Amino acid sequence: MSHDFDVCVIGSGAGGGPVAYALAEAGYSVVVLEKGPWFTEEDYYKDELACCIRNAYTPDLKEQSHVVETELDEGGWRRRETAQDTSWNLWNGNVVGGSSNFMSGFFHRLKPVDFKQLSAFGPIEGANVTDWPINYDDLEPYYTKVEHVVGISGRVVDHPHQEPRSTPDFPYPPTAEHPVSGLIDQACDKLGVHSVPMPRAILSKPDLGRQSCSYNGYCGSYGCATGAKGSSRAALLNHAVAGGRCKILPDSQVIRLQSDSSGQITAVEYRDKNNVVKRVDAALYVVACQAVETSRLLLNSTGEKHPHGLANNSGQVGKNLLFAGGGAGSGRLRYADFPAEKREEMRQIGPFINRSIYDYYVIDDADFGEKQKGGTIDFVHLHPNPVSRATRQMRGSDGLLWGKPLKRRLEQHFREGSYIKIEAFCDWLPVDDCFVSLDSKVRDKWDMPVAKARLGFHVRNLQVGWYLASKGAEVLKAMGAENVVSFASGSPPLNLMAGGCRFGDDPETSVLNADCRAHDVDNLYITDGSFMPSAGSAPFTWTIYANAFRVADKIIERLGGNKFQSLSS
Amino acid sequence: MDRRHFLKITSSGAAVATATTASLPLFAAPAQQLGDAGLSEQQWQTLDAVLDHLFPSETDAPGAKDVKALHWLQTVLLDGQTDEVHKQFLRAGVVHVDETSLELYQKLFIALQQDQREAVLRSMEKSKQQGRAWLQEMIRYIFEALLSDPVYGGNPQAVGWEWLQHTPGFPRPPKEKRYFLL
Repeated sequence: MSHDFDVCVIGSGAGGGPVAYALAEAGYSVVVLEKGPWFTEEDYYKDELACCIRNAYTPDLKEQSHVVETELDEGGWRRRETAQDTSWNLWNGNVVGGSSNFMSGFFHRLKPVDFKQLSAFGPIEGANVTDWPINYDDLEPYYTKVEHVVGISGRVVDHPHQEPRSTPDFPYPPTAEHPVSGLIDQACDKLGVHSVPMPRAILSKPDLGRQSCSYNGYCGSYGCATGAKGSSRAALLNHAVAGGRCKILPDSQVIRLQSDSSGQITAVEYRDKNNVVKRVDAALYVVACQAVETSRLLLNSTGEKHPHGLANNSGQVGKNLLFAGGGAGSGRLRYADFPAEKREEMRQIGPFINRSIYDYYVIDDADFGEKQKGGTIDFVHLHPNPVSRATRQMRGSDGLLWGKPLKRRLEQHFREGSYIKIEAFCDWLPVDDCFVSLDSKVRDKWDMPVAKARLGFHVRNLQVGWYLASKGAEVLKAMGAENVVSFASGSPPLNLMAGGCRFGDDPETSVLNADCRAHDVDNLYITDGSFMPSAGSAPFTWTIYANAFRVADKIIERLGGNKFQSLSS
Repeated sequence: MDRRHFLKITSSGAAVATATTASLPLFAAPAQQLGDAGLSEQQWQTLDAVLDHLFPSETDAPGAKDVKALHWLQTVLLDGQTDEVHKQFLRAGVVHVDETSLELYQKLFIALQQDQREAVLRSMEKSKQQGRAWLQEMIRYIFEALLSDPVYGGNPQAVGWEWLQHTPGFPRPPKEKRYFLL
């Protein structure tokens, strides 16, 4: 049977890019449908209004919104429509390359214990903890592949929680470091913990057809103007398109996946830029729209064999939605506390801090309770966005600050010191009260039900988040930082989402099998973070990239192998 | 560990982080007072005086006037992409300033002394209506005018960046790549 393409990928971010890249490289034809526009390096500037205030890279919430439900203190759930309450925006970058264009690229591998959490620590009451159907060893070659293909800079050092590696070190040396990095190393030495260089998905030298980092200090939330950041677009899709076998259709909103009486997908229905309904078909389909939208697309794609949504015959689609759990904190190093010759170095904008602590990845602390999963502590610069920073200064102890007192506070905040942020990552435990469903009232501009995300959380997230953040605060205090604070929150970081279509061996409790193929739909794969049954204790992007390359190999094998290798053999 | 305790911390934390509120309920001002096209000349004067009070000019530190904050708000109110409900909210706040001035001092805001202006705005801040949220939005828009790229019409000659010794990122947006043209 002939198809328009061998493979149709829906979504062009970190889940879709590796599949398009690998399949095209293996000689197969691929079409990538992306709902947003196709921006390039020529379109990305260090413009806070564009990225972070007027939200130029995400849909207009009046036309395409979500509904979120958060738990009330007194019990029950508070419903918010994001069109009205814009601070709960679940869109994260709807352009070619997806939100990977706007990531900071703090890259961490998961560790072997993340794959076998239930076996290692046993069940947790109120959480749907499970082992993964694959091991770290299954993913390791792909973590390594990402280092080379996407381009990861870093330096391996010996420490107790170093995960096994098949190569001795990173292919690219670490990105340039700020003097603060050395101060963190000294403080950690004093405290007896291991300060580890944090890998970054940022090229520290020109390679792979891309330029090196320009160290301008505006990285996360901003599109990269040099191509150094390893976005799915810069690192993967540009190469796939150049090879001639990958076609990207931007401004193409997928409405539903159509399926036949056998339950197989027959075509993708989408709207192009001019709002014309179109269809495309392929032998295999890959969905990677980021967790919330992936579940929504499946739930909206009902068919004869899928009355409750595609791949949802066990009612699992949308369940066990995950975010990055954890805590945060900050402290300030006053320039005045440094000798005059050091102050200018401290004022530098551009070089990265890039330090992490993994000593608490497993917490074995009698004061804290039984041995349990902990997480990662990252130290990073405070985001430089000046309007956002200034806005956080207007609250005084007795009402709003304005007039001269506000101006003095701004001077102090911006001029007198350098802020270091703690970002602590722990598991966002999978719970029954964190899931995606279709909203019964709100529809988007194409008259499709929008996703509703209930954002419940397990108290363990907070306990571990507090623990990790306070350990980070100890380091800042040992460095001599002032105004050190640390805290945890049950409020999810909306830019770090996963789960909703967990993979597993049992079709009753999972949506996908170990290859990330839907149990119910033979020609459907899901390769964004939706597959993750647990979140791990680090940002997801490296894991999403690696797993998508792993699944791509499964798909290539299924289609008959690499066409070029078979020709040459 | 008490889950409710955390929830409380969480919700107050979220409130601190929330800067933009496009959907706030309107002041209870009659619709005909607000007008569809914008503000009257006198209302623009009121708004100008409010911005000046919230962020006064000083010899060594720019104020709302120096960073063209009034012009910035005019742009926001004329921008087709600004939510209509939000525009109504911005206009209604100006009406509310003068209503409060008349109530407290029987004069329009522009006719008041500095300490009276302070009292009017503090009264708005503490009122049960959306006065505090409106004042926060005014300050936030002043910050946009103060610290956004000069290509957008505020922060002339990067006076805001220079004052706060802030280093902008590069490349900076050229005129033809402003966000609304992308």
